[in-house]
Amino acid sequence: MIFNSVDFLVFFPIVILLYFLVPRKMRYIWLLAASICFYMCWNVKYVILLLVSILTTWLAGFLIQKYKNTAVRKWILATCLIVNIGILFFFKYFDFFLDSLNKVLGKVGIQTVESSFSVLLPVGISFYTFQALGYIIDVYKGKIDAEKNPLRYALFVSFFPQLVAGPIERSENLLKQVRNVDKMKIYNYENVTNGLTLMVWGLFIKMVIADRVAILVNTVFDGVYLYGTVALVAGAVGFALQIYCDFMGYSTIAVGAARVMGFTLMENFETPYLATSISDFWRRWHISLSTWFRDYVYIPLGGNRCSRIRKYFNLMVTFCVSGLWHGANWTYVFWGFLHGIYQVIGDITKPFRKILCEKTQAKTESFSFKLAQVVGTFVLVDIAWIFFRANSLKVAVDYCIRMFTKWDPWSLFNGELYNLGLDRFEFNILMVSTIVLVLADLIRYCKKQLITEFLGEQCIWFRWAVIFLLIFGTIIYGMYGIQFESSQFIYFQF
Amino acid sequence: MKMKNIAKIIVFCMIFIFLLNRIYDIFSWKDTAGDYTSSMESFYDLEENVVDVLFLGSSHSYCSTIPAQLWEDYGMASFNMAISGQDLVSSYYNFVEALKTQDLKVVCVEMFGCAFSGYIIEGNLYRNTLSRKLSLSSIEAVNAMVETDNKSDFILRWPIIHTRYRELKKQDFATTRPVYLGYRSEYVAYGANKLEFGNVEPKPMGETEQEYLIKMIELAQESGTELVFVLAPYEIPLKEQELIAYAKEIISEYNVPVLDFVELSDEIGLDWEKDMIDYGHTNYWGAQKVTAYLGEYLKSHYELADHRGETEYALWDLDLKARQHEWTNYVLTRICDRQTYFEELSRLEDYTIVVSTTGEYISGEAEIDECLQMLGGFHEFYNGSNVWVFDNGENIYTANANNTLKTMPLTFGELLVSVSDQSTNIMVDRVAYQKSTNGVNVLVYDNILGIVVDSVGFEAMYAYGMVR
Repeated sequence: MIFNSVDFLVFFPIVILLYFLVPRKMRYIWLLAASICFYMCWNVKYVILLLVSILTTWLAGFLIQKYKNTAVRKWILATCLIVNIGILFFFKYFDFFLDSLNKVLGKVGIQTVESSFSVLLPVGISFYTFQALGYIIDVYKGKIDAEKNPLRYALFVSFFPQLVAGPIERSENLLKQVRNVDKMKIYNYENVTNGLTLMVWGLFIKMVIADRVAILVNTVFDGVYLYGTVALVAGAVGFALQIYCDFMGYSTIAVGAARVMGFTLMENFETPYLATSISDFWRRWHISLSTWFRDYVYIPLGGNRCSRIRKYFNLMVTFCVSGLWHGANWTYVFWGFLHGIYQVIGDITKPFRKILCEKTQAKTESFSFKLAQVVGTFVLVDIAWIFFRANSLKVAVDYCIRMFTKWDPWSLFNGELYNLGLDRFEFNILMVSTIVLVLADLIRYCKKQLITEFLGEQCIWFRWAVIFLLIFGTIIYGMYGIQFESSQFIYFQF
Repeated sequence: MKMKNIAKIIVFCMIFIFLLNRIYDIFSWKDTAGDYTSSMESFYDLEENVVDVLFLGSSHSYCSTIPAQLWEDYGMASFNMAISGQDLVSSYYNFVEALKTQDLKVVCVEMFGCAFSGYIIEGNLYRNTLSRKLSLSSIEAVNAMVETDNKSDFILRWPIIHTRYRELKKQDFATTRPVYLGYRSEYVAYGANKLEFGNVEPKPMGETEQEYLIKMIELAQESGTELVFVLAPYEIPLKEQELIAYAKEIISEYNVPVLDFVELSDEIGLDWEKDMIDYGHTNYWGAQKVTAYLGEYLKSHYELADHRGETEYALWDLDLKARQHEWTNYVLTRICDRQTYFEELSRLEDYTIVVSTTGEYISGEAEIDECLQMLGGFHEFYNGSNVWVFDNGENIYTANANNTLKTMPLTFGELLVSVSDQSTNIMVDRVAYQKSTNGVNVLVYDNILGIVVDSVGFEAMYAYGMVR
């Protein structure tokens, strides 16, 4: 059941209505039942994996808290991590591992290993596994008390708004709210209206922008060798827009849905394409994941507080693992590697850049300097996205080579851009809706306000006019319905 | 919750419902391929309990029965609720829909629906599922007719109709429609052949078709409506003959009459070469013959009131006029002779005629002067550019000064005429109608049908020959 489906349109109001009506003590049980039901809509069998993850991490948390002996606690933690990462590895990386192994064996002339079964990736496994692992590590470190009630804990892991594509919540935030759900004043006019506004905004950017630009992106990436610079740049920029709107759209709907129920989830995006450096980008993109890797991988590896070489090693490991987390393909690993390299080079060249700025008396606080930084960062991020999106490393490399060598500026003027799956009319819709997104991002960037906060400050007629425009913009110009296979949210596959 | 918040929610919901409703009206499914004429939309415009005779079926039905003729000859209030590709399932649900608002005396079901099942043409599926008002029976109809996994899309409708943002036209925003009782004249002759029914061995129809054929008969019995099955003339392939023969057997078990116009074609004087649009549908002349027989049959077998002169039936008078206009327009657009053309123009009623002289038009040219005088109102001619507008034969506007511009409302649009130094301009809904640059231009607009009927020019340099 995806958020932009008729099923969810029926499911969500029913869940909310009953959530407001059931006795306080039953609230978390009702939400748990709804969450399990939500997950079962994809595949009933895979709920077993979810339950195994819940059960093992809950039990481990309980035992870690119970036993004071460090060795025992470590042993329990290690066992729990191995079981959960093992499940994740098997279901997500087994085929990839086997394929890679066979390629190596094939090259050295050894008979390849055949798999007698096929493994399907359970939706959201990376998200809930990481959320559960974050909890168990937090309990081990004493940051949070283990949850005694298995059902409450199960709700923390499986809370349906963020179950399949995040944000990957921290126990310090969400588990605390789950524990207090009985006492929470769940019905709050501001929460409900803000939550619904966020959901509408999320649906708008997913259905009007992401699903529309996806047509152009698919056309270009499916025919890399047919196009020159202009189309390839359009495809690359288009994918940057698509993945942002797709994933940010999902996160916004998730945050909004939780807000309606009185829960506050962490913000997952903060105008990432207005970042002035790659490290700034990672403070703004998929915040819940990047902070997870920072807290549970990078810092345990030693973080910054070590030698420069070790720090770079830690960075590269963290980003390569982050790439692998996104998918079982070398393209993802390389994408992570590229971001790691960006950061390492950025760190190495930092003093030189500073000297250069001083020598040239560059006005580093000026708008033009910041703009150059933003554009430069976007170009680097976008080149990395090509590897993320391409079907193979070879295609990605060829994409980049062609993009910089097959110069065809006339394509900008002879209408060829409109042959990439979006005609002039559809292109105009995309442009207008993207301008709306840019405005919202600029408000966020300049005023540090979410769209709901900004609208909350405006007079009611302006606020409603914007909301009606978003609702009807989505209903009319959204890509859905018959003859259109609504693309699933990209991050579901991770 | 505070009262203020409750009030806000109520007002928000009311505005939302209002906007949704208006936007739905604009985006709702319309027969764009059928020039925006839909029997269902027209049916919903009818007042309650005015229809006595209802026709159901596919295009075979709406091409062969003329409500205006039944009205003119017998004062019979009939309506043709046929839809392209309407199968028996859809016919049944249209019957159900009609009974909600009309006290029907007779329902005539065209039998082509017995010979096919399902919808090969996607547009026909939309026509037959999306044109009914949303109700429990329309949901039932979708469940019965849509075989794919897209039932919810058809029930909710938005997932289908929202894609119309790419094709919206002025008609989608219109709040009034031309009169349409389910028949529009077609004057093409195809040259079909009569395929005789031999000793055809009946072969079972599809189970669904059988089920709905019987359901329709039972519904007629329950509602006290007389039912007549009609087979409109068409070249029937053998396979379809077998299915229709089977349907006839079922119908005869219930003692329901069948009027087979393939068998009756000689009796009604149908000329298969001249009276068909194509192999499957009668044209205007064929429909006249079928309707004449049908009218006589209905009149002699059922008690049907003559409603002529009753104020509730003004729509039928208007429809008759519209159909007469269609014939007049057909005749007018086939005239290629200047003299005859202006004679015909001078006889028109309920038309707006715009005449302009433009470019190097030379006054005093005897041939054209004589023609223009037939319209009346031309007291004198001027060299250069002039425009005259006639409504119902009366000269309502004349412009002969430079830089004059005038707009006038039409039935479904706006007329703009302008005069400048060396040219004139005639536009309807921002579309220019100018056939001659040096000479006379004529535009004919039908005030009843609300359409531009003809636009011709008489070019000075070709001795005022007619240009269309």
